[in-house]
Amino acid sequence: MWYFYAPKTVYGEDAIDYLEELDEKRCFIITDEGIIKFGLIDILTNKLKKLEKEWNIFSEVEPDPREETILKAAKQCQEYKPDLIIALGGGSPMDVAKAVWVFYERPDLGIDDLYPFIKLKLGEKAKLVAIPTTSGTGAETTWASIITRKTDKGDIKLEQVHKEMIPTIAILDPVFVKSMPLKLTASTGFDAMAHLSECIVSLWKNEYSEAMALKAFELIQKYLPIVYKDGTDMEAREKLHIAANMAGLAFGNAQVHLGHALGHVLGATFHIPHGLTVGMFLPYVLQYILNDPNSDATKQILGTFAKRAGVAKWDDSDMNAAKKYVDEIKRLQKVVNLPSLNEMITRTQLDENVDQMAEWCLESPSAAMSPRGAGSQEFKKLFVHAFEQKDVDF
Amino acid sequence: MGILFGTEQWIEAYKESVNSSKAYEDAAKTWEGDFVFVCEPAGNLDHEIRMYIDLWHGKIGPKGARILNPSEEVESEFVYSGPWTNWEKLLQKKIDPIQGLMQGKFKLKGNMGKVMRAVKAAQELVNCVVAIDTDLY
Repeated sequence: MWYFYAPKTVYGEDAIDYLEELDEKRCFIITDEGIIKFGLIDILTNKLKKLEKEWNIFSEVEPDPREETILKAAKQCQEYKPDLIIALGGGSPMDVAKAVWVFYERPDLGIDDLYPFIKLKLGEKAKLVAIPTTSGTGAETTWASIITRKTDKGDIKLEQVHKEMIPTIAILDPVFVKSMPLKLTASTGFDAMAHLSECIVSLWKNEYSEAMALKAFELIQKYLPIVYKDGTDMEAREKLHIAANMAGLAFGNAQVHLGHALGHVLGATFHIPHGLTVGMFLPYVLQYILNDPNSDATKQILGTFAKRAGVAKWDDSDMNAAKKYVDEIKRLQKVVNLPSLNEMITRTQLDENVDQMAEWCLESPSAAMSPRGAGSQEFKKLFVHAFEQKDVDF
Repeated sequence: MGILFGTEQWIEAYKESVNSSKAYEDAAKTWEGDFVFVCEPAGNLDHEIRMYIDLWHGKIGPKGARILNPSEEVESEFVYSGPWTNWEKLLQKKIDPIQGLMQGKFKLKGNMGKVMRAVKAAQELVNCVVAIDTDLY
C-alpha cells in the first residue's frame, strides 16, 4: 500500500474566485511583510471583502521561519478562531501555516510532535487554503513544514512532516506571480527543478510522481527561460506556476534527497534562499548518485527520464543520457544566472563550517531517501566540489 | 548456509556487524537510546521473537544486545514491532524502516521525533543485518 496525496487544486486566471465557493467566513491569513509591501495582500483581502468574509492577518513570517514565529502565529490564530486559514506567499508562509493549522486544531501538540505516524484529525475547526506567490516551492501541495530551530551550534532546519498537513485547497492564480522579481523567479524555478529531478530517483519514487515530474520538467525547461527574459509574459508565468505545483506533487509523494539535505543545512547556516541552494547543488548531487559503484539503477532511471524529456536520444546509453540531463541542468542554470556556491559564501566560511554542516546533513530525513547513501565525508566533499565548481568524480 | 535470524548466534553476529560498521558509526554518532524489536508470528514464523538492543554513539551500547526470553520484561526507549512477513520485506530491503511505519506495516512506540532525526542511522542498522548471511524463516 502506498499513497498519492494532493490538495484540491484550482488553477489559472481568476482562480482566486474559487473563494466564493467556500462557505467559511472567518479567515486567518498567514503571510510576510513583502506580500503586504508589494500589495499582493490587497488582491486577497479585496476579494474577501467582496465576499463579505472577515479576516485577521499574521504577517511576521520571516525567511527560514523560526519555531518562535510559529508559536506566536498559532497563539494569534487560537485567539481569532478562524474557520479558514489562508497561507499567502512563498514556502515560508506555507510552512508556518501548516504548523499553525496543527496547533490551532491540536493545541496539545508541540513542534516535536509533528511526526508522520500519529492521527491529527485536522479540519474539524478550519480548512487550510494555500495561495503561492512564487513558482517553485510546491509547498501548497506537500506534507512538510520546514522550521528553523536555534541550537547551541547554530541554526538547524527541522523537516517536520505529516500527510494531514497537506493543505485542503491550493489556489494557483498567476496574478500573484506576475510581478515576481526575475532573480526570485530563477531561484524558485530551480527549486522546482530540484524537486522533480531528485524525486524521480528517490527511494520512494513511484509512477505517479514520475509522470508529474516529466511534465513539470517540460514546462520548466521551456517557460523558465522565457519568463526570465520577459517577466510580463503571462502565459509563460502561468505555465511555470503550474509546473512548480506539479513538481511539488511529484516530490511531495516521492520525497527529495541529498540536494535538499545539503540545501537545508547550507540555507540554515548562512540564511541563503532555499531555491538558490538546492538548485545550485542539483548537478553535483545527480553526478554523485550516477557514480554509484554498486548499482546502475539510477543511471537507467535518469537516463530514461532524459530520453523521455527529449534532452537525450533514444539510442544513447543510460549513462550518456543521464549525463546529458545533468548538462541540461547546468545550461539552464547559466540561462537564469543561478549563482554558484562560491558566489554565496567565502572559502573561509566554507572551511569554518563544512565539518558541522556535513554532520547536520546526516540528521536530515531527506538524506535517507537517496538511492546512493552518503556519510559525513561524502557530504563534506559535495560541499567542497560545489564550492570549487568541480564535477563530482567520486 | 547462513545464521538463522533471531537466534543467539545471530544476535552475536549482529553486534559484530553494528560495531564494525563505519557507515552506522558515522550516521549514529550522536544517537543514545535502546530498542526492543518485536517480530510477531506470521508466515513461516510460528513464535514471537523479541530482541533488545542498546545503541550508543554509533556502537552497541553498554547494556548490550540479546534475544529476550518469552516471559522477559524489559524497559526500553523504543519498541519497533510488526509481523514477520513485514520483517522479511525490511530485511530484504524491499521497504525501509520509515516506509514501513508509513505503510502501517510496523508500529513504533517512543519519541518519534527523535527517530525522525535519525532516519539515516535506522537505514544503516538494516544494512548491518544485510551484511550478515542470514537465514530467514
